[in-house]
Amino acid sequence: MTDLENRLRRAFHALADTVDVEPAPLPVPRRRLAVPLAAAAATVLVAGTIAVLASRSEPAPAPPATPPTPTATPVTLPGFALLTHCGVDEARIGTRYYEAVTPLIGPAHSAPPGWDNPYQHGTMTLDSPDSAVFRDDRGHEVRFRVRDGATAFKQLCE
Amino acid sequence: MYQEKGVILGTDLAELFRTHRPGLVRLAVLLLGDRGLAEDVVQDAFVALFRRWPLDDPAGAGGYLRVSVVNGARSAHRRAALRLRHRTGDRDDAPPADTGALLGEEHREVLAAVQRLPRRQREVLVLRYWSGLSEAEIAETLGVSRGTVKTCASRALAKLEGELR
Repeated sequence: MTDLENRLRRAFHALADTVDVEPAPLPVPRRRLAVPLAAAAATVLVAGTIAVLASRSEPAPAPPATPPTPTATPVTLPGFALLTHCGVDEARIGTRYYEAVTPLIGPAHSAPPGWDNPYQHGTMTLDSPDSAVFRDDRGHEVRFRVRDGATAFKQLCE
Repeated sequence: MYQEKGVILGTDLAELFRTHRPGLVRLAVLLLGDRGLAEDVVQDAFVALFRRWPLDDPAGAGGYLRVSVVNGARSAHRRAALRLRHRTGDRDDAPPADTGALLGEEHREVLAAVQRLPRRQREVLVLRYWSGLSEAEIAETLGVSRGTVKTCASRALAKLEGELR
C-alpha cells in the first residue's frame, strides 16, 4: 500500500471514529406487514405488553398491540413511532386504525418538512374512545380519529 | 409496535440491525458528509431490507444493506448536493462544529481533497480504504465492472497524488 493509500485509510477511519452511533429503535415497514400479521401480533399481546411495561429503560417503549380500553382517563403511549414516510395521514394504535383529522402530506407525497422520515417518534395519547392526539418534542401535534370497523390502512405506503 | 417487531422481524433481524447499523451510518457519513442524511439513508436501507425479508440468501443481508446505503447516498446527494460541499455550516443537521477539530490537519486536507472528487471515484475510495472491500466487491456494490472500479481508483489516486503533494 502506498503512502497516499495509507493516508486515505487513516483519514477515513479518523472521520468514521468521530461518528458516535447511538442505539436506535428498529425501523419497521409497518403498513405492509401490519395487515397479514395483525392476528399474529395480537397473539403476543399479553407477553408484549408485559415486556414493555417491565422494560421502561428501553429507548422507545411501545404502545400495546391492542388498544387500551377507552376510559375517561387519557392513556398515554410514549415512544410511539408514527409512520410519516408518505405523510402524516394514518396511524395504527393496537389493532385499531386511525386517520388524521387534518392530514399533513409533504412534497411528492412524503413526510412533511420538519418531520422525521420514515417515522416520527413522540407520544400518542388516547384522550377519548374514538380519538387520539400525537405530540412530539418538536411541537408537532396531530389529532387522529378512529376508523370504526377498519381492519387495514386506507393506503399502503411503499 | 415493538411487540409486532418481535413477531414479525424476529431476533435475527434485530441482531442484524444492531450489528450493522453503526458501520453503515459511518459509511453513509463518509459518502455524504452529513450525519442527518446518513441516518435517514441507513434507516431507509433497513426498511427496504425488512420489506424483502426473508432474503433468499440471508447471508447476503450485509451486502444488500451496503448497496442500499450507497444507492441511498447517491439519491440524497442528488437531492442535497450543496450540503455535500462543506462539512461545517450553520445548518441544524450539519456535523458538530468540533468534528473538524477532532481531526488532524493532515486528515482534513485528505478528506477535503476526496470531497472534490467525482462521486463514483469517492465511492470507490471509501469502499476500498474504509470498508476494505475487494475490487470485485466494490464492483458488485456499485453495479459496475471491475475494470471501471480499477479505472476510478486509479484516476482518483492520481488526482489526489497531485493535490496532496
